[in-house]
Amino acid sequence: MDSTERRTIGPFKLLSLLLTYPTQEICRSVDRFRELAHAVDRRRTREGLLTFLQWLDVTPPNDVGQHYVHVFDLERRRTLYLTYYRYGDTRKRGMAIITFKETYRRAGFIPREEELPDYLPMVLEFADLSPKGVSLLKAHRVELELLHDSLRAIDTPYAALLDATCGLLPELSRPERLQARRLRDAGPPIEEVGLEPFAPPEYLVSPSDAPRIPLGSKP
Amino acid sequence: MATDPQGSRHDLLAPLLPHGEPIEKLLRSAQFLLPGTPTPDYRELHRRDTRAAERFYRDRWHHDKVVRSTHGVNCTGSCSWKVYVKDGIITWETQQTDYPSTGPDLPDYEPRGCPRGASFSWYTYSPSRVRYPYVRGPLLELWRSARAEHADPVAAWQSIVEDEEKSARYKKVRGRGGFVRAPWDEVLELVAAAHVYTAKKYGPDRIVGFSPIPAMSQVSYAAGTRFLSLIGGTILSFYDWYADMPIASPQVFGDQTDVPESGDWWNASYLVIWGTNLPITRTPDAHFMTEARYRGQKVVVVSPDYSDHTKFADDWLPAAPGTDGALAMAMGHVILTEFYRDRTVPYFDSYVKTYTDLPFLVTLRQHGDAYVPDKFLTAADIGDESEGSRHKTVLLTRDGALHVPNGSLGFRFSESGKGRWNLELGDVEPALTVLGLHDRAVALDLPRFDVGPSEGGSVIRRGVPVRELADGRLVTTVFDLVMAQYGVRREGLPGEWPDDFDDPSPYTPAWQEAITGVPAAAAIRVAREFARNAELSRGRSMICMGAGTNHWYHSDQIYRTFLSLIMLCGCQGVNGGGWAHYVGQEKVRPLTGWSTIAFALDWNRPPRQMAGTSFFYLNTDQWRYERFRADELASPLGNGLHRGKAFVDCLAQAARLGWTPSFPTFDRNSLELADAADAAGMSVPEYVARELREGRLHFACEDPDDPRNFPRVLTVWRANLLGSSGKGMEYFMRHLLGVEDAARAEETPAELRPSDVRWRDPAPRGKLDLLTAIDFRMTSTCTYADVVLPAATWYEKHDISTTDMHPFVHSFNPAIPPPWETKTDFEIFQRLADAFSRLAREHLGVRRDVVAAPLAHDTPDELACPNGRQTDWRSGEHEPIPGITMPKIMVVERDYAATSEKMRALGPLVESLGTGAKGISWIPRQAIDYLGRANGLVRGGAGEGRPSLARDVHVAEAILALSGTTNGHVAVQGWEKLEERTGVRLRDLAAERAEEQISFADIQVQPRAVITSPEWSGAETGGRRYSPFVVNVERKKPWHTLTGRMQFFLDHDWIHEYGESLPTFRPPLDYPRHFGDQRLAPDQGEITVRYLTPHSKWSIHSEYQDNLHMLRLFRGGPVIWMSPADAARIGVSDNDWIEAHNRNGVVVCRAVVTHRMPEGTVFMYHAKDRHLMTPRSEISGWHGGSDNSLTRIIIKPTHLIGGYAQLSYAFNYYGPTGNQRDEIVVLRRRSQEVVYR
Repeated sequence: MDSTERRTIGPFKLLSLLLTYPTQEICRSVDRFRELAHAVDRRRTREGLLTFLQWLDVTPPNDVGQHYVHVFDLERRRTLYLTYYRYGDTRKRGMAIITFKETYRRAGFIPREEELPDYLPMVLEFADLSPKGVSLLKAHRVELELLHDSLRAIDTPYAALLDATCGLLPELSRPERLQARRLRDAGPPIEEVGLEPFAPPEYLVSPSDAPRIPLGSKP
Repeated sequence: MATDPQGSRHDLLAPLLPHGEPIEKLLRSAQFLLPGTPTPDYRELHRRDTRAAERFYRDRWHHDKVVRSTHGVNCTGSCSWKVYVKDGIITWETQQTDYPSTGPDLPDYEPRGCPRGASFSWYTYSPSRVRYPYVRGPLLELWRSARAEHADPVAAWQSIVEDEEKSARYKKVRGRGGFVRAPWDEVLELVAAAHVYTAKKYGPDRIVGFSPIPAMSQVSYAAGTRFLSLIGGTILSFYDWYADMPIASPQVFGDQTDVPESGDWWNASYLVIWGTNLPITRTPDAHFMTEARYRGQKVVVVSPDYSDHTKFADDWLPAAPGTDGALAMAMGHVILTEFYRDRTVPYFDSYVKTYTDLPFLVTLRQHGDAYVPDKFLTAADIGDESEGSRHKTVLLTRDGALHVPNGSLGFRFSESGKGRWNLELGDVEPALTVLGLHDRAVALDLPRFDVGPSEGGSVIRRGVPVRELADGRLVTTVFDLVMAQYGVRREGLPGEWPDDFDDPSPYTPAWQEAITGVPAAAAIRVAREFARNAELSRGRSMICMGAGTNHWYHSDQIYRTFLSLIMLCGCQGVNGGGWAHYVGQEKVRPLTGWSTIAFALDWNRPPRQMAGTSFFYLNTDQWRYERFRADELASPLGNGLHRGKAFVDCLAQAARLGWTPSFPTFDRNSLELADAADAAGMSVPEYVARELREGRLHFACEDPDDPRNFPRVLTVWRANLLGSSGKGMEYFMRHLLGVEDAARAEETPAELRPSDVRWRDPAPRGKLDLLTAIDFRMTSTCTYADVVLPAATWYEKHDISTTDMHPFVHSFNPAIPPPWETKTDFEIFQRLADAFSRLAREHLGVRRDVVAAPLAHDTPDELACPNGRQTDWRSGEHEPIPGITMPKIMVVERDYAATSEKMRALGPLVESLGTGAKGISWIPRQAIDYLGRANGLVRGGAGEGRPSLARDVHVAEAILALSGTTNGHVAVQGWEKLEERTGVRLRDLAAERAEEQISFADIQVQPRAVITSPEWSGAETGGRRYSPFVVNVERKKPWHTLTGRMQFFLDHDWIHEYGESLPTFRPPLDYPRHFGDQRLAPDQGEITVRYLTPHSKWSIHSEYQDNLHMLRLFRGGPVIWMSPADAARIGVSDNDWIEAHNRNGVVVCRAVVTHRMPEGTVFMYHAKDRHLMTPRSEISGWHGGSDNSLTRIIIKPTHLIGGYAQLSYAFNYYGPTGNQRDEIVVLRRRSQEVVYR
């Protein structure tokens, strides 16, 4: 048996699959997912999964696909690529992505090249396979919270999946809560390399007055 | 010495450990022994690294590889970059610093690269990147159910588009999201089925492709156009559509655009920057401009605003927008007065006699009680019946004899002209003026446009000295006409003349002051300095010009006034002098190879190349919203050729005369015409001509709203048509796409409607059946497309880039393979061709396609209309004769099932017909042989035994090998061909590099400087900087014009009709008069202002306006710049939300209030995508539009002329411009609460 093949199918695996693009197989297998979801111990996670599966069950697959593209494919503030929330478009992001890759390797897994290593379904699958994956998720608790908030803000059934995910992780600590609020208010950090002040400070606006671009095109 | 009483107790002891690490660490770790296992020979020590994670961080500056690439973004910088890859992830990019040197006495090109380039790698992993193929949900649903019903995909597509209800279902939701991912194979089958169905039902010319600026990524461009050319699709031009095409260049030089590289600015000693913002739009090159100042160069800037280049100016002339022509006319007046009339400058005198048409004779025509200029006197006019005589122009020698010099068009294509197409005058000394040799002087009426009741202006009377020919006709020289035009008084000539520079009549410095606002003294000063510098330096005065002066309706006239200064001062064809027109990345240096591959000239000719502006004007129905006609612009001295004609009538006429291209062409399927001709027992050209004459066959452009004539399938790649270049955006929305729009213009009233073009009511909406966008960004074009295909970025493919700004050829190379489901443009079109070929086998097979090609520039077609006379077969004046009085009718056999095989192989026509550029052709045997060995030969199929083009690098290799600029063998071949025609020595220009061939591998190693080639007019020989027309001047090789010289004078009927035979000032179109007061609430704080859309500091052309790095450098969303005075009038403060509107649409944005702007003019830097912070409008209730929401194009009929010398059609060479600067808008402050949904 390959080490990536599992006897039991845990909640992380379910979440990983359900957060990928809804293929026909996924849409057709709601019953099987339900059965597995019922077996999940943690109540918050179980209910989150079932809520989502209920929507998946009654929604035409075409609409599910359109909805998924709307929710995840083209919006920065709802991206499934975790490093984006903390590093935005700065040059630190490339290194942050590589850190994920390195973590997988050290745990004995080779990430496939088709996806970026910080893709949430990949991290969830990792959590299903290795306790290090759960640590990785815990380390990105803030990012998950931001994604969760953005999904709730547009009232999408996918918010239930993030709720289910967060249910498997500890609550946010106070510093994490502060960091989440800061990132939510200000958006991802902006690149500052090469943008040093070029005038005496009294001519420059203070950072708090500087125009900010909120995440996404809408304020 | 101060001592710390606490610390001093232990002074004598060293700290236990650096930084005072705790004793605990010392106790727990070995101090003297290192862990590890030695090998038996003790040469190596093996240790288990317990700190792997730390090493990982220490290695962060180590990269697995550094890949050379560049940015294919219509950025003229075309800079080479290093892309850093670590563990398969792009982490970094920095400037490449290995450019070949420019030599010891010139600054080098490095460093190149600007913040826009540095921020590119963001796109690769951006959350908003297009990663998968998308189809809009309703269309995919329809498609899947149609496919379930029909095994045949073509039948499935037919079942959707022929059902009105079904097609409305997916068309009306364009732009409203709802995309779903779909597998590549399924999407390509859908797109291919649409292509096959359209070709079969309506004809292949209803399949259209739009992709601009090949130079920025030549393989990617060629991939799509090669596919379209093989199937007979229509390829739209972009240079004229972008209004970047300087129409004056074909008119004056007979060349599209040929300009100096930026390094040549260093050679200029006087630089006027007139309409191009060098530090902003030529960032990596601007250093040459600042460096040259240390060498003593003077910089003069003409710009209405205090722009980023104005601060470099020694002298700033803030001419009012659109009045540049007036300033240049006044400068010309000064130069002609002081450097031609008052004294003779030997350098200028001999220059204009050799290289310009000034000494050529022009006949005069009686008009009322005076004369007007008519036509160039030709050899045929003076009794020469020999070959080519109707295109041989005549000059007057100093001793009063008529002389037919070498070099005019009559020598270019004739057998007897061989070896005589050159500018050698021998012992002949031409007379510049008739004065002194004249029989008498006559009154001459000339048009003026600064005053008058209509756009056509009025008339001013001057006089010229004339000679009377044997038949009684009067002639004078172009120089005498120019002196009359510029109002330079000479004794003994009748007419009204200004007394001096202070006399405010045309075209004195005092006259221009009232129009431009530039003090007369400043205009005189700059004119004198410009000319005096040229006199002393032998032509090293340069004018950099660009969109600021080139995007106007009458830009051709503005530019002609500039070029006149250049020509009068002997600056053109001189290093450090001449015109320097900078707009897009227009120069495809490896021209021959690129055009051969891109238009599949190796398999079939001709391709269907269509003028972009004509296409969009017709098919977005912008012609239905005109408020005045073509005759509004006609001079009172014209012949009334356009009386009662709408602009679209002129277009239809030019199309049927073969002057300008017209695709889709006929109201019948072009695949059926050849069979119909056979059935009628006639040759195809005869048949088509007969059917046209007898009214059974019609041009599609005469009834563009007939569903049979719609363009049906449009593919846009490497472009953001709807978000950036779509002038008249709201009309695109309404008619082409069939979605909501914000246009409120009323249709043309019945009395002004076209007469030759059919008007249908109601106007159609949603003409397109399928819009496909190929991109890596979700641009406005993608959001309105039916199908979006994910493209590879510039760090994920092989390609080639060149620019006019530097002489180097760059490679693109993949740093990583295309991620997710993205593919290179090359692969996408190859796979589309595969899918198409499979379906075509059954539905199309082998067909004969009838192509109606326009009379082409640089071919003998230029001889079709001698003297530039308009005659129309429609009026029964003569027969429609294909290739003479109507388009050429050519039959192309297309084996549709073999399309994909032909895509992948270099076809046989390169050997049988050869390749070539600009009127010369050759058989590139060495290159073909090389390609067979380098790329390998194809086995089996249509391309059996031919050099392979199966991979992107093969195509790149073919482009390089077949071009003279990158293959010395080819360059020498081309020069030898040209030697035969000209009889002058040219081969040596490339001889020093005759054996050199630049391969793709070479440019992967380092940017390589190009070889001097007849594809262009300048020379890099001996390492000199490229300056255009150096070969013409130094080797006496003619320009590609009627006279073979640079032309001040144009004599085509339509040019006369518009009063533009000589350089003149035409003000911006009077939109307030034509369109009335467009304010909606005049008493509630609205102002009307001029609306300009220059190039942005934070983006170049269409790309980057969604790049967050760049957006963060300014205010993020769309803005309009305005002056404090204008802002105060409507109560606007900086950063307030405003709305700008006119009959065409609405823009909602923030205001930038700045003293840099002149009063009465606003800027909206283009082009911001519509999905970036674009709120709902209070006026339309719909989303605000992009900068092009406020524009609508009006075509200029003189741009449609064809079949006559340099005024003949070639792709991106001649054709109406999509100009937009004459527009006005109404501004108002709006509620500061904005909503986006």
